[in-house]
Amino acid sequence: MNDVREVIQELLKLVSDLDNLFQKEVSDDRPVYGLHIIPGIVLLLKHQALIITRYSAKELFSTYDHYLLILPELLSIRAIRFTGKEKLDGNKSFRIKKLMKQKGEKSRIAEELIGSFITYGMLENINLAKLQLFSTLWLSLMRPLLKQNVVLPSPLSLIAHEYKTEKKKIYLSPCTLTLVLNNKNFDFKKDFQVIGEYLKGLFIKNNIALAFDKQTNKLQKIGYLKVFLPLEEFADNNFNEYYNYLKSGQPIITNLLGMLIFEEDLPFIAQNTRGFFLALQETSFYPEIQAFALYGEPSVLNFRISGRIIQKYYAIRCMKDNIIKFKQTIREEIFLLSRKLDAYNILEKISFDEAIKEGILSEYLLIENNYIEMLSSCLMVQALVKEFGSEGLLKALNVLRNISSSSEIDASLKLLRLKKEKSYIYEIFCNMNNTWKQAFDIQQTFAKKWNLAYII
Amino acid sequence: MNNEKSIREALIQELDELIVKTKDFDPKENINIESSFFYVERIEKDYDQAKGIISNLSRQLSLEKLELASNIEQSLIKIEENLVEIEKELNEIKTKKLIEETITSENVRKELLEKIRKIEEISRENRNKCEDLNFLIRNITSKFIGRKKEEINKLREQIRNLKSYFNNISETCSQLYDEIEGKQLWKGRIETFDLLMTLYRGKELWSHNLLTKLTGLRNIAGDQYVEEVTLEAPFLSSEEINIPIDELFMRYPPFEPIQIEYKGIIGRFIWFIQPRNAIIMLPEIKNTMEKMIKIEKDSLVSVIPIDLFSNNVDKPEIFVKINLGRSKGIIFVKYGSKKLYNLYNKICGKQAECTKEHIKKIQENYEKTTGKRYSVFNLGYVWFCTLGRGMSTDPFDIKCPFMKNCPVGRSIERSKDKCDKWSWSRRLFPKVFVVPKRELYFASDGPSYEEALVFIEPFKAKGVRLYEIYEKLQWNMPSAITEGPVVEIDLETPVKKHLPRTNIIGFTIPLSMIKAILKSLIDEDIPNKPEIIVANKDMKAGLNKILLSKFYVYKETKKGLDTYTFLQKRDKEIIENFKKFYSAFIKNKEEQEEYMEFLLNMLAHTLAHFFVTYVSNSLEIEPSNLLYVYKVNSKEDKLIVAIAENSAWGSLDIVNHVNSKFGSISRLIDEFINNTLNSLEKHNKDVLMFTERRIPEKREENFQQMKKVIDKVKERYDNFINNGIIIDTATFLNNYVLSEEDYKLMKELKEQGVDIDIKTLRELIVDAIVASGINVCIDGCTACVILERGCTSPVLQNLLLSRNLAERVLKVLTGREQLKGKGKELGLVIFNQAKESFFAFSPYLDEEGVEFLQKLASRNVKVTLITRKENAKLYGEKLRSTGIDVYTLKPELQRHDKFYIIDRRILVSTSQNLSRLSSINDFQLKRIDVSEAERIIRQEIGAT
Repeated sequence: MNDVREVIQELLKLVSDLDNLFQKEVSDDRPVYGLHIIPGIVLLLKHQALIITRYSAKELFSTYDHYLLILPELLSIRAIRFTGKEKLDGNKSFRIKKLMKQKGEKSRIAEELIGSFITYGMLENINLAKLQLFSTLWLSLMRPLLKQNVVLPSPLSLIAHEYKTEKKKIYLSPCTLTLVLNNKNFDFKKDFQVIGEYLKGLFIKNNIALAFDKQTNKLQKIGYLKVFLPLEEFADNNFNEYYNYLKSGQPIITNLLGMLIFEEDLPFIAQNTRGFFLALQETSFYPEIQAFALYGEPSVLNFRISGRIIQKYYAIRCMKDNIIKFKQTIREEIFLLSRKLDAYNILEKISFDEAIKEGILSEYLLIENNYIEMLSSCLMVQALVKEFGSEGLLKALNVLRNISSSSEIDASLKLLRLKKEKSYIYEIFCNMNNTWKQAFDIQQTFAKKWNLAYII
Repeated sequence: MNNEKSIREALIQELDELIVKTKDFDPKENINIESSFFYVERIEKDYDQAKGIISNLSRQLSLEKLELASNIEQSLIKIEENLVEIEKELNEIKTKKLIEETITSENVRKELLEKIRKIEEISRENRNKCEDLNFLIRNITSKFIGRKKEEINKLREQIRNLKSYFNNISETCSQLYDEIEGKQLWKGRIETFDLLMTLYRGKELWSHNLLTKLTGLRNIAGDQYVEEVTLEAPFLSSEEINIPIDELFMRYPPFEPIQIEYKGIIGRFIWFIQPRNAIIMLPEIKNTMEKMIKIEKDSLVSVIPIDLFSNNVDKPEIFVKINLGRSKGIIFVKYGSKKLYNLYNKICGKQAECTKEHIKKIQENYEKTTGKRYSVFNLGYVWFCTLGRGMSTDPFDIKCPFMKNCPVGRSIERSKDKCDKWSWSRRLFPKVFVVPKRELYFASDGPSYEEALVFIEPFKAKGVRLYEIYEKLQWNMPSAITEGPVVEIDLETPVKKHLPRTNIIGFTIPLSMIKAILKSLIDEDIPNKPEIIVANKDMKAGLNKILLSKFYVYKETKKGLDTYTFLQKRDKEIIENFKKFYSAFIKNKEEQEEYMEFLLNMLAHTLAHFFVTYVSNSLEIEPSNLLYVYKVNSKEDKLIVAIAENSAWGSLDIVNHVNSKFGSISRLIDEFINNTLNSLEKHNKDVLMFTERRIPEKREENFQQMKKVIDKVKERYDNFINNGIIIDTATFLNNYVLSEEDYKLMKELKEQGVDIDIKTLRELIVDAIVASGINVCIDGCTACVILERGCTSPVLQNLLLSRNLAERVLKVLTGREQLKGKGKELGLVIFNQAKESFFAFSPYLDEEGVEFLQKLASRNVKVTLITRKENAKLYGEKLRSTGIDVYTLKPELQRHDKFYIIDRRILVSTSQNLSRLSSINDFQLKRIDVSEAERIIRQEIGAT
């Protein structure tokens, strides 16, 4: 357990480092988009600050709207706490021009609330339904991890949250999970407390999740995970159907979008500890994208301009074989499980069709011989939001590739020309950030260093 | 034993039969008018509350802050309509006549019963509607909507409160119905019933009690009868004892360890009453609570304190977590000690008693391990938090036991093992006070008044019903200063003490008169304010400033309950806040009205304190046998101050007592005023002498070292005074410490080369405050006005009493002092007190004065006016037409003096004519005999 504690300490440090990085990255001229995990869900954050002097301890209470957001350009999930009067629509996405961990240097709130930012009101509602469609894809890249049977969140998705002033904080990690829902150990709860709200739904114990060990190429089963399946308006309607299947004695294999809720002092769930997975929606399963998270490596374009090399990471590159092998292992395991348990397998119906060949993602995948490159979330967002679309993006990428393979003078000239022409290609070039790459690296090196398995 | 039992049973049987025989309903005998009024008043109170909430809710909804469905709004409108119905019925019931007539007219009684039933039904309907509304809101609001949820929760909280008020109304209605219907008392006379109850409940009944109750004759030697509580107390005697309820709360209050040694350990017993704002954590709490206290119909029947060291206790520790409200946080108290319990049992064995040797052994062991000399056997000593957030009676709590629960502890826990705010001293558990609320209901014939002294009208009344309701408990937490944060415990079920037929004496003063006097005292336009010496001989402050400072502190400290936060503020902040407060205050009418209300209550409260002290001394009655009651009654324009005897059936007979000693209540009141004013004067002199005597003494002692400290202290105090804030020495010292001014001073002194540690410096500061000549009793102290027991706001006395205000008002009212004021605001109010006759000697006259006289005459007051010839000419006819006698001054007399006589007994000497009424003039009241009044009037008329 001490070993795990060490891992968690490092995890928290990594999250905090990433927070610092994001703080620097986002500004008025480099805004980022924020997508809700599920539109309409806004948490209530109650924070208690304490100022201790010799004879007094003043407690300051503040309440915030806490928005849990996918920040695709930063390839992370973080939260924004908002206390202003102006009303934001919790159903629409955001454009964020500032991310700050706290006001002033004296405050200790950043230390206490990692993964949560203020914006000084510099955020606005924006309609991004198109982007929202892709959120599951990016979520597939952020994987929860497993250390000796202890579930840990990805450093890319971790938010500290407080909802009771007296209680210690909890940690949240929105993610997708493939689960076998247990038909034998579930209860219908009328008033189940979830983050300060009383919800009705199913509390299911001993569900099975799977974790993939990269070293051994084997899947490991986690059998103790607790899941809460809300039967409420905001959650997936299919959950009512789930209830019927479970009642009739059939386990369910499904892929769910939701969040891991860590109720211990630290973000981990082990056997016999508190904490559970709050399911929100049934969602598509993209094992091939998850393979990118495991085996992928960022691909780079090097631009030699005026005596220095500018590196722009544009995609994640992964060997085809790895993707196929990974997918096969999972498919086999799930097939076996469903046969063994006589489970109702939703995955068979909804996905496993190959996102690479068809579907919305194919436009953003570059396939060459033995490799597949998935364009970075940063580039994808640009193509989805701006007029030039995916075609324009690919065209631009070719131009940029060409420039990067040119000589120094050539490259400088070409870029200058693009700038002068006010070409969208130059805009893409400028907007390509490497922050997503740093985030991506952090997850991978963290998993590698501590020999962590990826929970699928 | 058998014999006794059979007598008891026979007695019960007899009484039962008696009751059956008297069950025939007789409205006159069986309807208790006073308690009916009591119920109506309760309904009215709840109705007012409900109305307030509804108007609040409609406002909130109309602001459209919350987008709620329209059916919610409609529900609310329906509730509001129902409320109007209730109001209509209530207004009819409220008229005294209706209830009084129920005794004589059967029809009226039926009508009343119908009305009550109607209110009950509507309230019940409304209660159900509130429930539906709550459900509706709960259902339409989706989950996880951030801060909007908070707003909706607040809304729901209000609806819940609304529901409880309607619930109360319907319950009270049903009680009132029973009362009017005669259900409650059909069983017979209250005495018989009471006796029967005593027999059912108690184990013993003294024969003299029986005789007293059956015959009405009193045993002079016996105690007066009040409701008693059975206290099972092995530490007091081998058997249980009966103790009057107020005595119980005074001597063994809940939440305070009982400080009596039993088997070697002090404070091992403790009892609680279920609080509303606190959680008591002990194993099987519910069960234990039920065992601990028995409350029947609001009154406490019996108490069995927990013995923390008894054999059947598993975990001899109790935690109490008290919620003081959001901004003031949470306070923890721990009772008992597991470690001591184990040690005790190990050394003494479970059955045996601790011997002195045992105790010595444990004590030595404790001292060896902790290095602290601290009696481990006194569970009344406390370890405490210097921030006032917690205390523990466990001697082994060297480390704070609340660290995990306290936000400060939690924040420290990360870096350190021990919280440095946890402290130790030989401090005893603070005294817990019960906060009584007193309600008075006169018998239907009301009090009988005696001859008034100027405007003070004495009265007496027998057969008065008095309720003393214990709703709250208060104490000061130990902290860095002695008066730490005030802890207030709200009792889930308020305990009621009932005195059904007691006697009272007291006096009333016209409220309008008092208001006029207060207004003149605080009006800044009026010069020459009465001044109070605040420091040395030369430093004075106007009474108006002292009063305003008190009000400021009262407002700043959430009605005195959060002085601790206030005291932590730096002087600059206090002064700045005061300035802000003041500039807002002079513009805000509502605030000024609140101030007036505050002063009226303060005056009545202070007079009550003086009165109870005087009556106790002069009649030689223990203060505990007297209860003071005061009331600001604007409906009847009266400020009432009264003393009731603390006996259920009036067995002390305080009224006769006064008559035999003083001849009349008037005489007593006269003596009371004389005596109080004399002793206050003497007290004033004593205080000044003390201050003066101390100055040279102190300065000689260690003049060199102290000089600097004195200067600093004086500078700070002067700064407060120059900015209009006058605070007493205790508050000043506490503020000095809590705002860390002492540490600042220590640093400064160090820079000047004086090395002094904080403890010595603090002692020096205490001395310096005395030595600097600051008055030790600026506006009330324990030697003049603060009471040790019986006060209705025990821990806030220094804020809610003002000896100077009471002194000043008494002096003005009795003519010992004149008062400056505006003619319109003070003069006319004084003149307006005339009920029968008004004689005015006013050389000058104008339209306004004429109008006033005419109004007075229209109230059937015989008005006589002497004025100058030219004025008589100008207004004479007009005045005479309304029946006013007008006489003309002989021009050659050239008189400029003016005076007035009210009701032929009060002479008002003033510089005020019945003209230019907005000018500021002096007024002085004097009581005169009727004969003297007539002589003066005759003489003046004769001279015309």
